[in-house]
Amino acid sequence: MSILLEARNLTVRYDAPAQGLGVTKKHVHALNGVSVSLREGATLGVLGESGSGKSTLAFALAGLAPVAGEILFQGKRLTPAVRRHMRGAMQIVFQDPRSSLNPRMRIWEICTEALLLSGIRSDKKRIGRAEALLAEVGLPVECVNRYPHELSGGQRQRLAIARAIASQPKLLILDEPTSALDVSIQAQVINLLLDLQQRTGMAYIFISHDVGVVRHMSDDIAVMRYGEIIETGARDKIFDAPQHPYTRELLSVLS
Amino acid sequence: MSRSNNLPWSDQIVDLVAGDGCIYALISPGEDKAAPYIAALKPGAPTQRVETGKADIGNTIHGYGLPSLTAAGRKVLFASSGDGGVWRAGAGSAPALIAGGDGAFAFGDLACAGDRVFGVTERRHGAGRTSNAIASICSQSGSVEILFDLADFVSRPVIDPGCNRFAFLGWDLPYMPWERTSLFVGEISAGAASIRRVAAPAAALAQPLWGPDGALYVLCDAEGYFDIWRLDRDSLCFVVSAGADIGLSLAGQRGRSYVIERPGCALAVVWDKGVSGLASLNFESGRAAPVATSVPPDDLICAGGDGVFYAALPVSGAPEVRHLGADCPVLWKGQSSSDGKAAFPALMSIETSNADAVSANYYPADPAGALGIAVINLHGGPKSLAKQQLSPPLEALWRDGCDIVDLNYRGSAGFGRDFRGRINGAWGVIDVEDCIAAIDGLIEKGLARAGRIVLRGSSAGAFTLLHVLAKDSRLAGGVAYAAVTDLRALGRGTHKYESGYLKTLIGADNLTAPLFEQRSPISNVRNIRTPVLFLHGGNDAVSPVNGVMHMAGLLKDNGTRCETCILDGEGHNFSSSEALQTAHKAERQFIRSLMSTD
Repeated sequence: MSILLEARNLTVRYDAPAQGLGVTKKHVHALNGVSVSLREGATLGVLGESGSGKSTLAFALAGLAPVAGEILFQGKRLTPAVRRHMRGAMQIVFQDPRSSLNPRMRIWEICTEALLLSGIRSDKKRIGRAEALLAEVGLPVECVNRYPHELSGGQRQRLAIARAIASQPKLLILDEPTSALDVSIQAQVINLLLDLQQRTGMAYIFISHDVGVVRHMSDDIAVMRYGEIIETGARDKIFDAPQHPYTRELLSVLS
Repeated sequence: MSRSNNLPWSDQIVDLVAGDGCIYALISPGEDKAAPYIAALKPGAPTQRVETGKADIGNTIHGYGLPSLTAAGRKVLFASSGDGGVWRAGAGSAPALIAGGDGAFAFGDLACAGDRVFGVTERRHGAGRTSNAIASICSQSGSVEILFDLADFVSRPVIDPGCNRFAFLGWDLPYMPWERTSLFVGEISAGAASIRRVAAPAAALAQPLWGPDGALYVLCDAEGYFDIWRLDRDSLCFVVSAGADIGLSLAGQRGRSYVIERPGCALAVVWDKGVSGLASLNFESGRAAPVATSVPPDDLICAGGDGVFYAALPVSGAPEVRHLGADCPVLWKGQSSSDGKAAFPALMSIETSNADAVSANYYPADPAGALGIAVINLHGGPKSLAKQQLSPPLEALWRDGCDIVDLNYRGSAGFGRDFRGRINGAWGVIDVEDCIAAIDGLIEKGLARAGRIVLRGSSAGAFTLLHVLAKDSRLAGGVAYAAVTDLRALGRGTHKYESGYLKTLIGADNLTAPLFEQRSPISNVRNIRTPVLFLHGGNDAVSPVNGVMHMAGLLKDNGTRCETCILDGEGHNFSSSEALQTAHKAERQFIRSLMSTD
């Protein structure tokens, strides 16, 4: 498999609030020289405790955070112009679908927003495509005219996934997509993601603090701490022969 | 339900032992259900198949005869179920019969140190009577000396590395080995006269093991879970707990669940709420630290010169032998029909009576192909365990688009002594309550709809299923494999090993007690209105086919839809590939027909 995404030396820096008079403004490195790569059709699991920089990495890769460094996607360096041209080849799904779904839009509109970018403006075509997407993620087609608040938590996350796959992306960045869900619903979403990957060949960057889920989903794993990747490698290597003491501790605490 | 008509298959790792310079794995092939074979595994070297000649690895000890291996230096010992003898084999050398084989004894459960071999023998006296003993076998002459025959059952002999002492487990009826067991020790030079029972709590003991420090360790559940205890002077003393069961230790001789990695430290397979994991146990601090693994372990772990090895249990697909901490952790990978797609199991907690909770492994179907059918599976226990792995028939149904709920009702192993014991005296009551609670929970959570739930179970699980069908009208149907329909018939026909089991489960000493009739599913035929499919072996000696045919006739007379699929030549557990495929096809057809009548 060829490399789909390669990130080199990513750094995200936030200004820390100044404390008191005359104190020099400080910076917080949310990401500090992070490099990762992802093969086509594979899943990179990103493990780490809260505040380790996992979500910042997701935002940086998706172009949602100002980042220094270099990101190559299908061999091309990602610039704002290239991202616009990619038309949804990289999509992101967030932890809490309630805050990422527009409550004023109907489900078919949410699902097919990305089609507008492709010039498909006919409502009839968009509703037809939305119905196909809902079926693909296991949502009843009848809910196509409903609003997000009429869905359960698990259904909203499926809707978020349906929206993300509408543009047939090559890469889905999943930022804690199951953390807010009941375990039974969590399993439904995990199985949906595995099924979609098998059918479409999408690659995933799967961010979670749940070791069991990451173990089940991932081909490769990156372990993060304080904005840095401290260990990365094949899933078997990370789990069965972790090299870094922090990885060993993290896996024993989170197992 | 049209994705694939074939039943998925996968190899199974039956046993795993460390020999000199290699690991021996006993493999049961999945594809053609061929006889088990021994693989010699060495890090960095190709797998070698050990030639076993005409011997068929297995035994008939204790009714079920679980096959096992014993390392003997560069060779491996095993019992043969065909001739009952003890065989020795090794990579690159011809197999040799070293004892028995003349039908006088059946051997099983071997131990070896130097040229000394100990084993469990079983002698049949006619009319179903058997006696078990610990025997010492001379590996040179093949002579057999009976050392101990004073318990109803004996198992798991072990010899200390210095070849000075030996130990084994024994228990008497009416107990099962997971209820109350004794530990015996003796001096090899003094033989039978030196054997004495070790002072121990009235609890279950399992898996005695000599440590590198020369101490004898054993698992004991006196404190609630199977913990590690040690023989200090003349009595057993608690050493360390994982806060959950170490090993499943169900049949006395099954499982190799811990190793003494170094003095003061053990590595163990821990079953926490029925889910397996590895843990490192420090004897001094009493601390149990989880050890992460990329695939969860099954109940087999061993330590050889190159490190620690364990059998890995994927949710579906081929099992693996893994080398803990190695850069190339996969030492051996089995074969399977899997395409790499594996269900993600969620551990569901279900509230049941008396503020108890039971758990189930929930495998939701792929949304795109989901049929909206929930299949609740009841394992064949009642002291068994639904592991986080889909059996081939369940995997087939999951791939068809069914949601699978694999229930660990009260009585299941892997949840501690108290949970395991709750079914005693209440079989056919609390297991039924738990199943109905699972149905309630699925419907309340919106994970299943009334009329779209199918119950399936085998043996004890089918017994529970038939009770549930009589009490709950929300089910679409039931699929009963090797069903227990008449408890009195079961009690009269069962083998010595389980002859006290049924009385404990029902809570009455005499088969004539009214409870045996009341709790027999055949007594509740009038209340069953839900369609049933019976799948039964024509040669089932545990639950004879006549009982099922009788019950099926009564159900039909009562106007209840009932189908039977009798598999000629099959016993209580279906073994041939053809029988499994036939049963699978019948089950799918039955479920399809239930849903088409909506």
